[in-house]
Amino acid sequence: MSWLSHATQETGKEIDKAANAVAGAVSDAGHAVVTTAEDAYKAVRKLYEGVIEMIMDATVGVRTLRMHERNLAWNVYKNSLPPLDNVLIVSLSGVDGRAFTLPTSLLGAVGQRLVWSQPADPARPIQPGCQRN
Amino acid sequence: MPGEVFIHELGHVWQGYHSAFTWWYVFNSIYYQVACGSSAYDFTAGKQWSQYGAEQQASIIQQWFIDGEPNSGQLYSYMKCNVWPGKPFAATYF
Repeated sequence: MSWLSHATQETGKEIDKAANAVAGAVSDAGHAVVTTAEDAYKAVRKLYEGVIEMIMDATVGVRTLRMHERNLAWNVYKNSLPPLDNVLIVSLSGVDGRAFTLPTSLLGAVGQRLVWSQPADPARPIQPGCQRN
Repeated sequence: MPGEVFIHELGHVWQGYHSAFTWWYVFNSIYYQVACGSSAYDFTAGKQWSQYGAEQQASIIQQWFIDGEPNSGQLYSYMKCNVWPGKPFAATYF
């Protein structure tokens, strides 16, 4: 992939910034130091695994879409999205509070300050949809 | 506008769903955010849908939503020709 060859020419600082910028770099999970493009891939992978682990451990809040969100999604996307039961909102946000989205079977995560108004509750049970991921 | 970030993020769900390589948009987003910074989200309407980066595509859908979901115009063409049919590589007719 051309972006890989390009990325290897970037400084470690720039790639580190990329790993934090993309996928959102969750503050709790995105702490890897990145020096090469391969490491950038590993960092994204680690971030991904960290998010999944936190969801499975119920250390972050997870919920499925609410009815008004489903309606909004349908109004804009019609039936071009995957089954909305597979889209989850997670109480995590990326760098600078930015929203991010990661695929699993398809995991949509949006910053808590924007959509998920309640703080993460470790005691909150995992939603059924999460088990499928 | 309420919901616009949600709509933008759903754009990435759409990209993952309709791409042969589900993670395409993640790496595309990394590349353009490194190369272009915050302008990775900027776009000028008129190109073919497939010519835009992942963040630009999501921003197009977001802007169409902000504009009140009009039934005409260039952004509507992307919705009609690409987004709703789930065809990221189909031609966009304006």
